[in-house]
Amino acid sequence: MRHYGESLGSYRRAFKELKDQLPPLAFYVYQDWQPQQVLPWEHIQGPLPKTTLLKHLAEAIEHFPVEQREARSPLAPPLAAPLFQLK
Amino acid sequence: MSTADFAAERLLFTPAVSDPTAVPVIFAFPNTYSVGITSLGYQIVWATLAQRHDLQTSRLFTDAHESLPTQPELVGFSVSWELDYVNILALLEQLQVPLLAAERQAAQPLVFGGGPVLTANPEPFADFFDVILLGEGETLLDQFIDAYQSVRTADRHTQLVRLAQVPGVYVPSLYAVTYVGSDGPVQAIQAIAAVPAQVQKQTYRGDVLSASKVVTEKAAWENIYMVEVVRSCPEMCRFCLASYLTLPFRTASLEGSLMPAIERGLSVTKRLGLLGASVTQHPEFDALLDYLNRPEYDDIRLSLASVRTGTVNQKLAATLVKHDTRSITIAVESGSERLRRIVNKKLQNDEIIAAAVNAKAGGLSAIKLYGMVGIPGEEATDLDETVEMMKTLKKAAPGLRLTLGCSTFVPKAHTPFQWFGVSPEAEKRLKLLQKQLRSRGIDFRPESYSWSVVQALILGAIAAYLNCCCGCVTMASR
Repeated sequence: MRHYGESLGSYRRAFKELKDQLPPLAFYVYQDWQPQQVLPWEHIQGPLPKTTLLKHLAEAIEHFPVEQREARSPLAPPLAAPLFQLK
Repeated sequence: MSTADFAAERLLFTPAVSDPTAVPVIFAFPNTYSVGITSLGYQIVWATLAQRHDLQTSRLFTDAHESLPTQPELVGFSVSWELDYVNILALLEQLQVPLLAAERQAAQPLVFGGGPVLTANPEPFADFFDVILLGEGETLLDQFIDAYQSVRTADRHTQLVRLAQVPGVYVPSLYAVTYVGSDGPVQAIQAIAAVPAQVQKQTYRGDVLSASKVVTEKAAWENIYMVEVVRSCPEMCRFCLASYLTLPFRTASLEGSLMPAIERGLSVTKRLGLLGASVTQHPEFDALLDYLNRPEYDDIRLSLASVRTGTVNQKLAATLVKHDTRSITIAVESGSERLRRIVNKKLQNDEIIAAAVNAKAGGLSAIKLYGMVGIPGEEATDLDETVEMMKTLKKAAPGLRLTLGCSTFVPKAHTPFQWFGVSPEAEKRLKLLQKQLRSRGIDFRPESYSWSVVQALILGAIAAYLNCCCGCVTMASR
């Protein structure tokens, strides 16, 4: 029987080995995504339209501490530099 | 567990006698028998398959199986926990079915999967499944099988294109995912055959909800009979998959669904579990309690999923105590009212205190609270408020055993927080809460931070990545 990814360490190793083929681990785990980012489930219709989800998101952000509001808001204008360079 | 333990099952349905030409099906749960048979979703799908004359269905778990066909045409998986995917791969290997859908040949089975994990975000698992069933099984499952029967003898591609016409049936190989550059995020997802551009989910609209189809002493909760009281949750906490994924909120009819189901179940067992993300918000919950408090049900044991904090009153507590339950669980998310506003949790601290006071007054001996760290917008001072809340609770309901279970916020597909990342501070904050609470004699149970990170990875991942990961992990473990 083979052993499949069963610990965080094994994923970290996998990311290290695949570092030229994937965005960094941080992209998947820690980074906020921009609303224009195509979601991996974009082709699956959820119960609510994306506009409603974004509205609920905006309501949540209203309660953020002021200094976090802009920095963490996925609704902020896109960064000047693209997150990923086209190759 | 030995296969003979299937004999301990008491069925609440009659399996069909299979036709001579029936399709051989294996329906698997990627965990042990005890875990799998306690999944109401697995039970329902299995019973639906087993009640069809045109199928010959055998069950498979990681530690038990019924007599398996040598040439199954369909192999199905019910997936309710993302980290069980490792067991899916192991079971496919055990069945000698190629792990990747793309490598399966004409004579090999179509592998299908369903359940909340796959419905929310099928992509990380897409390479392993020929077919993924999205949404609720009530109508989808029969339509899927009917469609399969109509193309049973066709070639694989024809079969897949036909199946993909059924609303709720997603065939990953008929969609192409492209990426930004060679190492970037998803750029586009497009249909590459005559199939819908966006896959619809099926939503069941009836007022009869699910109930157990099998009761067994081998279940994780021994001999439990489960009844679904509500589906989805009207609260819409911004992070919550259980609410957002299954909207709209639906309730089972008390007289048409709940009472007959409970009566049926209690004829074979004395243990009843009421299921749903928010059972006490059933509009007739009070009448349901009255029904359960009738003298003929005095000897039943009643278990409840977590309940909305504001609905914990003395009657509920006393009903639980009378039926052999000593503890109640409420999800409060945080002691900080500002954080609760962020997540749309409409709950005040005084309601939490009232819940604890009512629980104690009704005779319960313990209350478990669920919280979360790393909620987007969280600050260090919010944790102080959580500690403060637990201290206040301890004073307000002395003698009541207090537990705070705590997870890390992980974004979930189809929720408003799907765009947020995991907080890098979360691990530190779990430790901080642990130190602060345990020193004050409050039971603190954190969920593993590492597993939260892995869950986020699986969520954000695309099939290619996970696939690559498997390869690498395999190499690494050699």
